Amino acid sequence: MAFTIALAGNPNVGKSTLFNALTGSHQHVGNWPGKTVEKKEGRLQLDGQDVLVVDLPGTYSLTAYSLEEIIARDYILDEQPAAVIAVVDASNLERNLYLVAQLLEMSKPVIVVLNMTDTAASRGLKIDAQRLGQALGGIPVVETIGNRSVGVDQLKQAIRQVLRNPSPAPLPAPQQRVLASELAALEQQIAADPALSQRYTTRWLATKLLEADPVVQEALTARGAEALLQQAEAAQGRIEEATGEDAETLVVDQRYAFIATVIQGALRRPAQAVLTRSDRIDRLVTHRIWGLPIFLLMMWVVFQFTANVSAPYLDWIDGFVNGSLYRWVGALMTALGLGDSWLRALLTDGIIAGVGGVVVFIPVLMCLYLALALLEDSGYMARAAFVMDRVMRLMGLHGKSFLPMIVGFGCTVPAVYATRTLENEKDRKLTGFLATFMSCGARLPVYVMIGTAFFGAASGNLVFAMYLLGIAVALAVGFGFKHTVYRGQPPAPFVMELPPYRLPRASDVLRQVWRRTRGFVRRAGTLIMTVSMVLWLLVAIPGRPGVGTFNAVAPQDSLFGRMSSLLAPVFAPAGFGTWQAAGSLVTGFLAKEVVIATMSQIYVGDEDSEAPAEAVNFPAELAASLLDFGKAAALTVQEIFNIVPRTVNLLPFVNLPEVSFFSDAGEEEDTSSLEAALVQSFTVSAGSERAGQVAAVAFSVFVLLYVPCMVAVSAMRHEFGARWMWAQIGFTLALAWFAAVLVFQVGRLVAG
Amino acid sequence: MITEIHLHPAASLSVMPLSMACQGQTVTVTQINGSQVLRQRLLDLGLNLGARIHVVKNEMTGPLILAVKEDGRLALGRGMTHHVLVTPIAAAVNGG
Repeated sequence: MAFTIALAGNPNVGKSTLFNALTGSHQHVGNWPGKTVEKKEGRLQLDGQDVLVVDLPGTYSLTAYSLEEIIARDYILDEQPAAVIAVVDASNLERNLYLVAQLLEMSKPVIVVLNMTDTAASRGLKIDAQRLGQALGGIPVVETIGNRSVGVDQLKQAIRQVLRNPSPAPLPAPQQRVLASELAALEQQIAADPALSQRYTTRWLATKLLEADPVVQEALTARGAEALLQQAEAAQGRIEEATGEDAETLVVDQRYAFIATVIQGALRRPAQAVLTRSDRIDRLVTHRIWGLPIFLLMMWVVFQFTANVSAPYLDWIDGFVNGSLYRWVGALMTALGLGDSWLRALLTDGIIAGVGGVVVFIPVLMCLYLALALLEDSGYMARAAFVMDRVMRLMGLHGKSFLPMIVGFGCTVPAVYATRTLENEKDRKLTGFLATFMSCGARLPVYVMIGTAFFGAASGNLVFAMYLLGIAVALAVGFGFKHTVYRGQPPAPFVMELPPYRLPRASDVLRQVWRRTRGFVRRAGTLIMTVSMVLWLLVAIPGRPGVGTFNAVAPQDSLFGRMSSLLAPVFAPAGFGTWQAAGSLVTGFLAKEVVIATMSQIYVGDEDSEAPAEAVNFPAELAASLLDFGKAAALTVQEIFNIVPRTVNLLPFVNLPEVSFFSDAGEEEDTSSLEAALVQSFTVSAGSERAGQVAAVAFSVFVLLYVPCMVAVSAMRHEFGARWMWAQIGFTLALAWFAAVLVFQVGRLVAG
Repeated sequence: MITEIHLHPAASLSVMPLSMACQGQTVTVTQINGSQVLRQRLLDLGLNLGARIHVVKNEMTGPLILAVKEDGRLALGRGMTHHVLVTPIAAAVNGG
């Protein structure tokens, strides 16, 4: 039979790194049943024996405070793992041993892993692992440096021994006399009831009863063990009378007293407690005045990095998929004699266009994830949450909510999943809700398109205004909710461990980037693909008899065109009541950047029809693609250098030149025909040229605010449930419509 | 709970909320108020009775940074620290 071992530990003690070192690539990431907390399982081979390793959520304690704590302790109680590995931050030993003390109460074989012994040593802490193990009752203690895989073999050896000879760790004896005797009395009662003593370990249950743990009390009431509950209550009263302290405080005190005796002789601290280098950095980085500018500067660098470094790859991928690949498949189909068939159209206009829609996100997301992983692993992310706590509280949110918001500028989908780090459900839902107003990467091309078409050189102003509007709307909605829906429900109090700053390790960072990007492609990829094909089908099917045949019908006569025409009048008060605008907004529900693709297809018409006729020189094109990839790599280096002058140039009176590897700026896409058609259409629907411009702004506002996209919506249903998803869809549609109408009606009056 | 103070003869006789402790000061926890959930949480985080806490940062606005159990660094919202009563055991050495 396979053994199961569980990894427990505080958050940020390097548990995941150790989990990776133990299980390698044999991992499975899912969710705890019915919960939105991530569950990681992996397999470890020990002497040909299969050992299942389960990574429990990181917790400070095993009370019923948070979902994570309940999951962790229920797993140990219900699934009965053969051993629990308690991962402990050696540089913060005393605090971390609190969880170990609670694990010992559960009478399970425990292995203590002293991780990050290098950080501890650099702070002058000397830990005697052997004495620590003896003081803890003779349990194995292994020293590791997780991110350098030091000590992993010793840990495997310890696991081997525990599995061969599993003996529960001895229970720590309470020093306080009254507490000790009350515990013993309760334990006797529990042991006398076989139903209870089989389900729980006696010491653990007795302790939880004295702590008045609400979850345990409920479980016992359900089992009809009222007598025991009454006895526990009486015991609490006696303890309070005898000691002047309530039982729950005393239980915790006993754990800390036990820990104090354990570390005596096992831990030597440097003579005088000095402020560490981390403390000195923190005084600046979390300063009430300087903290915010430093945070904004960091975010500026992250955005520069994400937007500019990914751009060359984005162009390359776009060129490769929509150019070369598109032509190759076309040529192949022609060679097979299917050049004009619907199958070719489905493959090129449906599937390849759909794949293109997904893969263009990859460079942006990888850059964003890379930047975030670096900030996270260096320790800055915790400080950023600290600095942002005051700002986020205005919206009724927790400081940690800033991270999903930032991720939202890249893509709403990972932003929704990033809310998992928040402790309470209300905070998670509200953060996910507001993160959709952060203008994501897919909305940007729409603003750029509209901006250049209607405002020419001033298009940047429109783009900037949309980003600001998104933030303002999030603030306003959050503020509104705080005083209405969530009145009297403050966000979880701010509690956060500040890990010492350290140099991120390349392999950890890359692993994170890879895991998150892969997750996005899996979740978003299949959906966008399916939807692109459905859309293609709708445009190919004639909307009424007599206007054309399958795959040979003008867009406005297709099923898609007919449906859009029905919807168009809804947008008339906002100035863009045309079937083209309505249709592109419908497809924008699939993914916002599709708005442009749809527009170019229905305003300008299908100009690709002659494409398959071109002869394809496969080797030459492949070589050109590879060359372009090399160029993109060089441009990346250039853009990384350019972050410095761009940042310095933010200061007035400074103007550093930027590096430029290639003299030409690269070819501009030819979109002038679309722009002309857009201006013409909006001018007609709005009534005048000025009104057309206002309508274009209203259109951008609508794109910013309405339902983010199908993938984000499905992520929301996955995380927050169907009801919340529908509430979000309804709210954002109504908000977007009112805002667009307001912009158009007021703007028209002002602009004349 | 004021009777607790005699345990620390070096302390001045002042009991104050942790939120009022100066940056650079080392204090001892003498009492924890607030709801059961809040108290449990603070206890779990190492703010038990008698625990020594070094105030790494307190700018009288926003969260505090505390050295709890010597080595760990804990950021704690100001609201929570109003409920923790402490007595100073060493004068501010590095106030800022």
